[in-house]
Amino acid sequence: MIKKPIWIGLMLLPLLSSTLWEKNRPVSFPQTISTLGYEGDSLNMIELGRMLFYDPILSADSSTSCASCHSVYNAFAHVDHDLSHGIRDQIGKRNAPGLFNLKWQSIFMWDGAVNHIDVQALAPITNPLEMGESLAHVVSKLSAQNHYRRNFTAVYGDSIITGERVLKAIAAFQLSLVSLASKYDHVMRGEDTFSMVEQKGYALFQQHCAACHREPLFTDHSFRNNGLPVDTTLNDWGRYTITLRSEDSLKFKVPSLRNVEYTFPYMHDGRFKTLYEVLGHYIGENKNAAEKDAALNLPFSLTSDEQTELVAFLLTLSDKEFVFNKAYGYRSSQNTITP
Amino acid sequence: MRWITFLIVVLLSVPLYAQERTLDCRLLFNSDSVQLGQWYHLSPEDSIRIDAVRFYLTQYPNTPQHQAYLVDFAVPYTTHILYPDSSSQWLLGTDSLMNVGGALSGALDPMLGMFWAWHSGYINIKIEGVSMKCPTRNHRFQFHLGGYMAPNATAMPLRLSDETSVLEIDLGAFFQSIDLSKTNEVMSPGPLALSLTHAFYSSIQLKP
Repeated sequence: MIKKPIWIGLMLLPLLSSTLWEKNRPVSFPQTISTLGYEGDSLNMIELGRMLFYDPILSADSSTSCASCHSVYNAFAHVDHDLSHGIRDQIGKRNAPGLFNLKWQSIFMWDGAVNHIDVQALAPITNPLEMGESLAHVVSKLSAQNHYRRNFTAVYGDSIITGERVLKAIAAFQLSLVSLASKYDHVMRGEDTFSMVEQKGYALFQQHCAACHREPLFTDHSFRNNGLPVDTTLNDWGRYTITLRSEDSLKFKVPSLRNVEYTFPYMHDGRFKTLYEVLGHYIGENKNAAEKDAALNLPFSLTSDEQTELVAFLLTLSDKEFVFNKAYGYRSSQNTITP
Repeated sequence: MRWITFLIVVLLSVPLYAQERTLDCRLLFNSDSVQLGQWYHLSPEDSIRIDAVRFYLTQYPNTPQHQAYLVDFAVPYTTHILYPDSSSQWLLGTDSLMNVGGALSGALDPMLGMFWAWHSGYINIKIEGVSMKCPTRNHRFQFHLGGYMAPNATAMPLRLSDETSVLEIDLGAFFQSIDLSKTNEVMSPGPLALSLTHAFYSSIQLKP
């Protein structure tokens, strides 16, 4: 006969485990966009995706991998490049954004051109300025390599490599990149405290920036015109190029400000090298004042001290654990994935 | 008696499998059968060569048994479709759910070159070739017709009756409705892609 206290203990066990989970759960994160429907999150598929991410075989002349423009040390952005470059030293049209927390996004690219993470990699792979390849040719190159056939077998059960399988593996790796361990996160979980300067910066952030750069993802994933005049050497009309609606002209997806310390230069075309230049844009005279988003209509000014405080807060969004995470770094495709 | 019983039992236990039907897709120019890569003379000043015709046919509604088929006249076996006789509703093109479903397999695999990398979604119909009327480079015309978002959604309904076994496309009728000297490159979703899809759709005849 099992004694009463043991029964009570067993009943309370689920309560205890949920308490433990609560402690580590990110503070009020929204639901992740469902990625179910396939075995996408298996560790092996993520490993295969990692190998592909770092392999320049995806490009026409085997010079350029995803990591060429998305470097782990810079939260997967292309640091110090306003526009990225691809094969044959061609300069592209946009700034490569950092990659993290993608499982909370349902639409991708600065103009929302891509509606599903699975097919995002198609864009750089086939862009003639970036990797200049066709998915079919990538598949045939991979199929000719023994180690890839072995690794695809470990993940998918057989050595047939298809476009779908390549894309799903890359997407699995992309979705695995999660950044939730910045100082801001530790403070929100009660594990750390802001300095006085950072605290003031946080208050300023909530007052002036949080309408679009909403916590905890630091973006609301909407498309907004933030008053940047069009660069006439690029003529990038943003969301309009996808929807063809005139009201979408010069609207770009609000980027997350997480890891912003690592991902300079800033904006869709990298026109601002420093965070102070970004602040200068928002508090200065906007040439596009008429068209910019309503959230930016209230003029605001920041003293020099306030700018320092705001930047100090933004630096608390840096996640060192993320950029040094060995699970996100280079892995050779010559390694074997065990099924 | 026993063997009669046995025979009856055997006959009754023959499984009733779903019937399969065939659809034979044919390409015509007016009433002549078209070969890809061959020159056709429409008039003394006008010659045309069709290099590629590829399009999706999707059995509707979209369930595991109902598939999308990629008909490619450069790949003869794809022009004879074997399909389960479970629905007479079809689409010329792809279902909108397929366009937001990420990387799909088989005929819908993006490696087949029928999925836009720069604007997620399927190219429902591809028609490429050369016409002396085109002022383009090498006189090429390229129609990549797709789009799943209103108001320029390009999937069109087709009804296959019990008697239907042939799907004929009369490219003569298609090219009659457009002016190749003005309309020769359509590579994105929009009103022009929609009107060309209508023209292609109108050139289709379903026959027994």
